Amino acid sequence: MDGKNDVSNEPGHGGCYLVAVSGSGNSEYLIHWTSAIARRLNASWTALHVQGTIPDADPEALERNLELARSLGADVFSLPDDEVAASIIRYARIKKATALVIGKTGNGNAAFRGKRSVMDAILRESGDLDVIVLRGKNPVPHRRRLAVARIVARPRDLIIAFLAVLGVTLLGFLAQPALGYRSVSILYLLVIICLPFACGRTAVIAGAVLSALLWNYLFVPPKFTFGIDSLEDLLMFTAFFLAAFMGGFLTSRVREKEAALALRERRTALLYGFTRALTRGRGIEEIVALGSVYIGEYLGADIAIWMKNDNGKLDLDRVLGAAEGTPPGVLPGALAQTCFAANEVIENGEGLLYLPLGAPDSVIGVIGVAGRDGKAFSGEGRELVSTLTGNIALALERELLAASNEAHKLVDESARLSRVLLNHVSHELRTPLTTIKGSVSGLVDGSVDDDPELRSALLAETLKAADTLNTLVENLLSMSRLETGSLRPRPERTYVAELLGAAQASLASELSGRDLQLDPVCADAEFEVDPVLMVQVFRNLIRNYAAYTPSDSRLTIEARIEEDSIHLRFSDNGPGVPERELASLFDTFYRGSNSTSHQGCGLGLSICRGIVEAHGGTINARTADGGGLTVTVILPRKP
Amino acid sequence: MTPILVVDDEIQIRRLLRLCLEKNEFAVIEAATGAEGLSLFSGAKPELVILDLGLPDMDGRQLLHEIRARGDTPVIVLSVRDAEAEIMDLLDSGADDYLTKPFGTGELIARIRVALRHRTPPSFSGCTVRVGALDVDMDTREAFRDGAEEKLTPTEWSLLLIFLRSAGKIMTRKQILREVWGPAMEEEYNNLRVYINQLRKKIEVDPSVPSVLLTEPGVGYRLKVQL
Repeated sequence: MDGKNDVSNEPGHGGCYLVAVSGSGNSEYLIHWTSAIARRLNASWTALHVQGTIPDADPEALERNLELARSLGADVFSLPDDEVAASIIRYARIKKATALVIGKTGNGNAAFRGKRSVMDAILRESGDLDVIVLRGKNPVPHRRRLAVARIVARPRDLIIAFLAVLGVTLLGFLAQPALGYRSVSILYLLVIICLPFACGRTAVIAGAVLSALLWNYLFVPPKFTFGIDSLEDLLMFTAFFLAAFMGGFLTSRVREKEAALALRERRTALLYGFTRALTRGRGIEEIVALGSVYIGEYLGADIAIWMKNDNGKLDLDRVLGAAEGTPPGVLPGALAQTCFAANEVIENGEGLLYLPLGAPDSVIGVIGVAGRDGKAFSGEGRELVSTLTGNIALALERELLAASNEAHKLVDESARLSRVLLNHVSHELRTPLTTIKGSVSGLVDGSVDDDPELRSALLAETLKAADTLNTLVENLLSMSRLETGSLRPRPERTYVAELLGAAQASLASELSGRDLQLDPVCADAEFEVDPVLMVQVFRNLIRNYAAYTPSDSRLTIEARIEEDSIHLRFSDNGPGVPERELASLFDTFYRGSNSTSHQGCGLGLSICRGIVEAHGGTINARTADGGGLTVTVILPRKP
Repeated sequence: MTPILVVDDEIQIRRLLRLCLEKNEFAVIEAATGAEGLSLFSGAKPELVILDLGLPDMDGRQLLHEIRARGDTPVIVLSVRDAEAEIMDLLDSGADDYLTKPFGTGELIARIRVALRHRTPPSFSGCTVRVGALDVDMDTREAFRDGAEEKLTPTEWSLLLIFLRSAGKIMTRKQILREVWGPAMEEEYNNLRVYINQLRKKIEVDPSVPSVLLTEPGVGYRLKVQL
């Protein structure tokens, strides 16, 4: 029972409520109501604002409402869409909302525009969706507020409208003798139609009214009165007034729609470009850099990102993405820590915004955004920040996931390798052990006592098998050191010759009767390497020659000294290695196709490569001029 | 019969050493731990100690230190590969030679003989020694290569003498530097390297493949002798 209770206590268990929010006081009530319901029912809830073609009457109130929703624990979304109702319903379906909460609106002037209100549209199109319509406790008259807000025009617009009308009036005075006073009205009309390109709707309507009055007063007989003599002129005046008013009004609407469309297009393009760039971005650094560029360019803000470290704490010492020009201390780490600890958005009202990155229950870091103008982000800017940082968080999560996948893959791979190693090694160990046991048991039971030749042959085989075992154990040890990374070269200055000499001396028995040619350059050629490790490389290379070439073939070791590197070439004139196998020759456990008749476990060359690379050098194999094998070791002269 | 103390915790190794040492006319005293080794060392007075580095109860260096405090009995250290730094350290603190496991018994006997011989420094007076391609007249201090005289600088002479005196025995770089140039110079590895290379050119048949004056990587140098 308890377990069940726990589940039902999780937020979101009681479904998901979606509340449609605008800049009205009614919305405030809607938000409180939904928040209370969601809390009581243990539901999650989302506040949605859809920005239609008409700019919101009161952007500040809208921002306040969205902030209120955010602070009450809602997910907040803001979308631009012409079809407000359709957009809300689409979103509710996507979110699988339990119920949609909307405010009751009168028909207002929607009817005048030949449209249903948003509420009507939602109710009609909601289908199987539950819609809760709230009247609001002390509803601020929605439409009136809107109308009042719209009347307030910017002084600049009014001045433009006034000057334009004045200009036409002067032009009309000049043109009247030639055209007559009626044509002047056409000039006025032209200007009114053009006005929306320069100023807002209120100014256009003011211009229309002003021009109608001016035309009547200055041009229509009787001049300098507002009276109109002829019925024809009266009709003309009325028609002019209506034409100016409607023309100005409609053009303004087209302009506004166009502006909203352009804004939306710009946002879409920005988001599209950003998402695409992030998809292509590889590595955390690159993603952070992209975020920095986009947010810098479109929001005029700097960012800094702090990531969670392996201990689950925010790594404050490592700030990512702080742009070059960002003054230090603009985005203090302490706030990031607060934001991370509280797992909520922090905003200081002076353009500083800190958001947790990632899903609420698995925050991967914190992004700090600082507006360069020191002002708090406006509604649209704020939404854009949320969207962009959301995208950054997704990309970062993807990177972290990829990294952990890679780590898992490595673990799998090393598990596979150790299985292969065990199989391989037990086989390789058994072969010399079988030889030893077979030979020695023969010697012990006395069955070969009367055959001194066989006796010494068995002893020689035993010794050889022991050497093989020793080499194998040594190589395994080196391999495990290389793999665990515990092999650190301790370079010191040495002559090539003395290391070659040491390698050769330790292989005396394998090399007896073999033909080794050494370049006299080796005697004086110096390099800085770990002598013990490099002798092992040389020993493995020389041992391979001794093991895989016929006894009459020759090994030539040449040295070439370049300015900062030394090239050592080990060439034999043996059978060589097929061209297609050359590349895999240095792979662990790789054994050439013609090596089956010999002892060895494919570790020697792989160890050579490991050691040479640990010295910052390279090793490669190719077919020698005479058809044998040439292995070239290139080492830096100074590590 | 020269008594030799074998300190090794592996009974198999002790058994093998006993077999091959007794065959070569040595008397063997076995100890399985460092403490036992030390008490046997004081009681049985061996003439040489074979000391395994991987003892369960005592650090090899500690035991060596105790032995050195009781006299200059030669000590041959048994170790594994990749312990070069430790070996060099032990050699500098008084061990006479070392062998890496696995080793051949012939090699072990040779090392034992060299170590025992060096307790009484060899005298070279009145004889000519052949080192690599060089015939050296120890009295007149002249060296000949293919019949022609080969001039050696005073430093080269000192080096050659040190190597001849400890022929077959490992010499760490510090030991050589101390003997030729004094304790103040014992870190001058680079100088030593260059001098040894010069000396090699004079004594080695083929200086590009040293076969007489050998480098033991990470440890030191050894003048190879035919026994």
